[in-house]
Amino acid sequence: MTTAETFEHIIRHQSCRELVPFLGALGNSDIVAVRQKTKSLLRELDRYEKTHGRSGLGEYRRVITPEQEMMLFFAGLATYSRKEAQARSFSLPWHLSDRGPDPQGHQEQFMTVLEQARPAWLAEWLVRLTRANQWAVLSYKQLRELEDRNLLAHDPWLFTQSVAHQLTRYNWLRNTYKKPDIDGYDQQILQQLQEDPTLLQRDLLLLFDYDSLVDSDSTFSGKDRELINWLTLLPRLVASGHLNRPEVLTRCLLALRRDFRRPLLTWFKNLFLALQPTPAERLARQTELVDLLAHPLPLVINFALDQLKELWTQPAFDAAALLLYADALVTRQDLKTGLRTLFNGLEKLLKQDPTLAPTLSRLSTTALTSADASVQERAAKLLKTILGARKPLLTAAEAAETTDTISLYTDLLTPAARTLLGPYLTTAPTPGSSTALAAAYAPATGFTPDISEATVIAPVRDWHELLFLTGELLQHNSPVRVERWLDGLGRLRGHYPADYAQQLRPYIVQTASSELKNKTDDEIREYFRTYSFGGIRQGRRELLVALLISWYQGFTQGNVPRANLQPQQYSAPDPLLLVEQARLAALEQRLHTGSPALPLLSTPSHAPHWVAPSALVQRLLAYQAASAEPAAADLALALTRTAATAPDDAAAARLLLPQLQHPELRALLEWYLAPQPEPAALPLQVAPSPGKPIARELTERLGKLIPFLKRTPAADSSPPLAESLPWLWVVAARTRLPYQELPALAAVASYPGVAQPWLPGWHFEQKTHTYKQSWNKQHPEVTNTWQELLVHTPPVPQGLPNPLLLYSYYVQPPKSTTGWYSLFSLQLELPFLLSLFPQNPDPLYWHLIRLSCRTDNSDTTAREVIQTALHALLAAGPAFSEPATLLLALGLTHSTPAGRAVALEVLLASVDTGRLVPDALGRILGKLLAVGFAPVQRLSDALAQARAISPLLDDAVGQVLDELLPLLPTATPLRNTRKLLEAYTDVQQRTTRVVPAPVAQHLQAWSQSAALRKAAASLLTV
Amino acid sequence: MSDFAYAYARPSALEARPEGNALLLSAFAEDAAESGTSCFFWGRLRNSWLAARGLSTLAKVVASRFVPQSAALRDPIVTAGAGLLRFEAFSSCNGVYARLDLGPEALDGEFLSSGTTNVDFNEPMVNALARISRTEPVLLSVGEQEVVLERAEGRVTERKVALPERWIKGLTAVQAYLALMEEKMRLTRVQAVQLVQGLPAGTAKTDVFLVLRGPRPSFSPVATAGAVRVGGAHRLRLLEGLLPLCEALRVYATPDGQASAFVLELGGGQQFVLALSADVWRGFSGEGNQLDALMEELPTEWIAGANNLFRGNETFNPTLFALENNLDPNTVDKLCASLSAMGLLGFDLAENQYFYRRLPFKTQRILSLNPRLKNARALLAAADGLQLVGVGEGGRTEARVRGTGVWHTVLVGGAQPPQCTCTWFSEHQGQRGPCKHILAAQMQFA
Repeated sequence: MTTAETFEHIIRHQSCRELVPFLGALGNSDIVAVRQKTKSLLRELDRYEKTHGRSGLGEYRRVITPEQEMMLFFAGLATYSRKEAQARSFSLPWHLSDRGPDPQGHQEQFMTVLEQARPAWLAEWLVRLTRANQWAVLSYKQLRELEDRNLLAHDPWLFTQSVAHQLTRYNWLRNTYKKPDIDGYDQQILQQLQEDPTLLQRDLLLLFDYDSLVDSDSTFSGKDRELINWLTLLPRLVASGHLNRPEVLTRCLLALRRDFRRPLLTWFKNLFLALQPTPAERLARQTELVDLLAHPLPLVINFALDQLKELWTQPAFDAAALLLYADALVTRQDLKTGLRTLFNGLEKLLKQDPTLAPTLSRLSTTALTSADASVQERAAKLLKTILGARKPLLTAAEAAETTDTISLYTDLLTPAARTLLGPYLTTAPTPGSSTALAAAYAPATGFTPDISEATVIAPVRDWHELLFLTGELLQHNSPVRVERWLDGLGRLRGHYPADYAQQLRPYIVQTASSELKNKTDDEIREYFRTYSFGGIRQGRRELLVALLISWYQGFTQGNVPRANLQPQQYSAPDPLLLVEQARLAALEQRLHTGSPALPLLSTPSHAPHWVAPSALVQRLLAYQAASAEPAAADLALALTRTAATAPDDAAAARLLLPQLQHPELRALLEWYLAPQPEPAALPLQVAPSPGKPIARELTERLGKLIPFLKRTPAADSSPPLAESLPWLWVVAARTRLPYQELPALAAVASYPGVAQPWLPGWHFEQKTHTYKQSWNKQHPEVTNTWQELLVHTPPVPQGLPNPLLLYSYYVQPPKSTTGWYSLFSLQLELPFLLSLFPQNPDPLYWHLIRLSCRTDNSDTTAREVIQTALHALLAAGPAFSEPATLLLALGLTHSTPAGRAVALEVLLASVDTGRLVPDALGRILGKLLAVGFAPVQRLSDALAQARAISPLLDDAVGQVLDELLPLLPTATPLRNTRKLLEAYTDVQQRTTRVVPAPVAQHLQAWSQSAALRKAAASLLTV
Repeated sequence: MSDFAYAYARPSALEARPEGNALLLSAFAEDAAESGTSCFFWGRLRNSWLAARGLSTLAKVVASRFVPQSAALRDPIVTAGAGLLRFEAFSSCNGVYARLDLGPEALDGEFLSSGTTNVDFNEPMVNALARISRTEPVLLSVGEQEVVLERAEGRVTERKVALPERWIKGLTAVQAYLALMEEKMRLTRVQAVQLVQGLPAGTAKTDVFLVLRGPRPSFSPVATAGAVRVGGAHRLRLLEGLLPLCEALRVYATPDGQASAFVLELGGGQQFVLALSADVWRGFSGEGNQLDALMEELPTEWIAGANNLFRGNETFNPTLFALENNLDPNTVDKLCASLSAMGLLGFDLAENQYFYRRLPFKTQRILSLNPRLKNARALLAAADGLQLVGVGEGGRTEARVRGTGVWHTVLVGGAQPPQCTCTWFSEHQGQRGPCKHILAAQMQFA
């Protein structure tokens, strides 16, 4: 039998008892053979196999036995090279590292094998294992034994990890004795530590040099389970004289300089404090303490300054070194407590040594840039002391430089600091100055869309542009790109190259994943013949993909109507997508029938999504010339996008209108494009034929396009124009006159958004939820309370009278069961939906507020909806309507910083564009804060970022606060009301506005509150 | 990875000596054996405290990662030459590039030789940097001069560091971006501090734009005129410890907003550069912004000649170089691209000039480090990789290029940028360099 065969026999049939002497007797020539056999046996045995359990079900069982696993580990230990030992799979069996009873004697065998083999890679291997898992470290006792046997050189890092794990091992040790509570266990442990000079003099001190788990290592003692950790043991070792007190104190401070974990730094700090150093001991370590001021973490700096604060006035204290560091400290924005301590100390230093005044004034001036009000206040106080000293502490030049610098920072100063430094601010605006007068904000009264060369959206130029635009629209959700593509698709139909389908193939493969790669044309045709366009996820992208596939197929098959946009179990596509489906289906149908190439009426001609009035009329004339009837859905969307309030272009369009031969359509456009359309000029509508519910209406019409569904062939998916005209009048009227009552339309339908505008109300409602937790005796019942924002509208009959009533789609709230899916769809489609209503997006805003702002704790989907909607408010437009202002208010107090950041941008932009309605915003914010829908802090943080940017903005913010403050409670002021008052003071000081009477009354009431007295009083004196 | 394995003879250390502390940086240069260089610089740091802060920040960059992947500490490289020491490093995710320049004013010592080397940045040495006080004199050694004296406890410590290829790729992309950048704003020290103050809390998941509002720099989620796009702005927190120490901060960005750089003027001849990629998940190594310039294979002797010339001059301005040598600026660009593809060139924003890194001259790296270029050449080598469809107006050439299971339509030449129907191009629209199909078509037809 060869050595390898003997080895295999031992592994398969014997135990470690036989293996260990076998490994000890291995000659050098046998090592490689045994190593190979070890690896092959591991490959064979270390796996799971499927067996049939008693129940007859399949179970997985590990093939290798624990004893075989241990034997193969020993074999590896004895024969592996460095490379094999570094493999991740070669790890130490858990119980070999001294963790409890070892009846089979494996630990001793482990040491014996190591003694015999003496692997050169032992230290490297142990370090690797410990770095991978600090809990896998060998016990300190084992490491020492290995060191004593000359098997392992002292590795400071490794030994530190083991020492820092020792108390946890005492826990395991206790478990081996089955004694959970040992009286005087702490004393026993302490005694064992005290009896080990190597530990005390060498390894215990390494804890100060390396990152370890020393901060979490612990055990407990006695029946009360008193915690024993290194924070309790080390001071006792110091007290008993086993550790050198000065050395431990100094090492604590040196350890605090390092980039250790924050909890470990806290531990060193606590150890230093547990040793209760005397002032003399701290003074002796002032250099080490001062050096801590360079640390990146405020925790360490605050600690150092706290330890130094009693030493400042001591004669032996070296203030110069500290002032060097203070230079860098005062510009740190993450320091608050520390800087307050620092300035307290600087005041003492000034009293003791007035010659330091120039340095201290420089430091204080720099600290004025701090964002923290209390730091600013202390710096201002010190500056005031220096500048206001009876006997000048600064030279004239130094004083002038200081006041100049302070004045530079005027706009950054908080009210408190500004009050303190008032006499030294040279650039403060004087009351009633022309600057203040010029900066009175008022919302803009009208809005004119920019229909000019600068905003023209260029149509797709040629085939190649159309081809590559296809790739863009598959990757990016951009409404403008899609509209250009649709327009190009229709307009360039006669210009597609002969092999256009081949060129489209890469995009077809993209949409259908990799299933179509390397397929022949016939295979692809067959694939799409049975392709399902009615999957779970349905949206505009799916509609576009359906159109793309149609294009690839040469428009031989109507795919767009096959998309299923009805709410399903896990899907609730936005209802307006039905209109888009009708528009795209009409386009698809036109391309199928080979009608003349015509543009879509609703393609935006000017940025962001406007259709120029003249462009609309010209497109209609093109339809007229081609004897084609426009699709109703396309025309309805064109009306919502037409910039009828652009005076010049509307006038040009009116000049073209006489060429339009359709009298009803011409009348509609004449009214729609009039400079001031009069409600009275609306023609009295006759009641159209009884409408079908929208779903039925559109499904029927679209169904006609699906060959296997249709009973009678239909040429068009849209209703005839004549049938649609009353509804188009409604769209036109609600686009131009969104808020007026229009009795002339009463005969069309009795539905919100027709004769009566749809103006939903909103309110907050307190909700509670109580649940029982019987296991918690102290709190058996828990009640959660929160506020909900509810958008309410009177009940309406199910079903929309006609699918062209674009402004009434959202009157009916989605079912509560599909609410989330509606929100999900809204998130995906919002950029497109916003592009539909550049003039009157209010119904859409109400819908998204209802879906995504019900509570303050919204999910990611709701957050994205809000942010997208806020982005839309950045563009130029008319003054904010109520839902737009509500959206802005919800954004400014949003739970996510990202949401608040976008809302702040909207606030800034809306002041520039005149869209902000400050009193409305103030009222909504006041209502929102007063009920506790969102905390005040969020708004005050947002306002802090808007301060001192421009006089106009200051005035607008002042007007917002004028309306907001009187709505806040006085009896029990809201938390952080003080911050709002400080922001108000700041604005008042800069704008020199008068405090209105309602605010003054509230200020009187707030001046009774201890927290608000100072802020309210300062305002009352303004 | 196997190409770049380094071994240090001893660990770097901050040693206390009777005459003051000595910061001994252990070095390993790839071509040290050829040059016989063991020590590049030996001398005092004039402001050791400030230099230590810069090196600590550099170490922080190296240890940082901004996408989930295993963090691996990689050692910085140092280039000694033209009177400067330049310490360069990338974050582990390769999306942040940092460089500390110590100029003649910052150094009081002797440049024993010019060259580029890796230096060992071990944990104890980095920790020790924090212990350097403001007034402490510190001696700096890059490489070994007194080998016997400095060997710790008479023991040779060997630490092997495998530098990933993406470092060299990253160096290529970074210098190309830096060379394109323009100064967008200059901030005072106070404004620089406010910069971090205004950073959005937590991790920036979307782009933010740096703007000046009144005197305050602010980060806005909305792009406006004059704003600088900063992708993954939270990465700027790496500078938190250094910003309060700078005298001024200059902000640079590429015209297309694909990268930004923050140059901290620290005073005393010290400067710290932090460049950020367009997004957290975009490492500089995958940018491919130099591929256009590398497309045309220049004669090896040209590249070798330029290498020898620049190696001697150490720094040069490409425009001036083209003028002085009567060369076409495009040819100079291509030469620069070829050299930087081997990691040989870096770019100094402040001086608006390239600097030379003495790394091994290995032309095979041009291909091996640019797989798109390699794949494009493979397409050209294949019998039916490309088909010419026609040449349109203004030299616009239409071609079909073989893709995976499909043929892509590619347009190259003419005044417009090239286009392709592949997914990569559809997604990035050329912002991350051309795809292999465009490269192949350009090499064949343009």
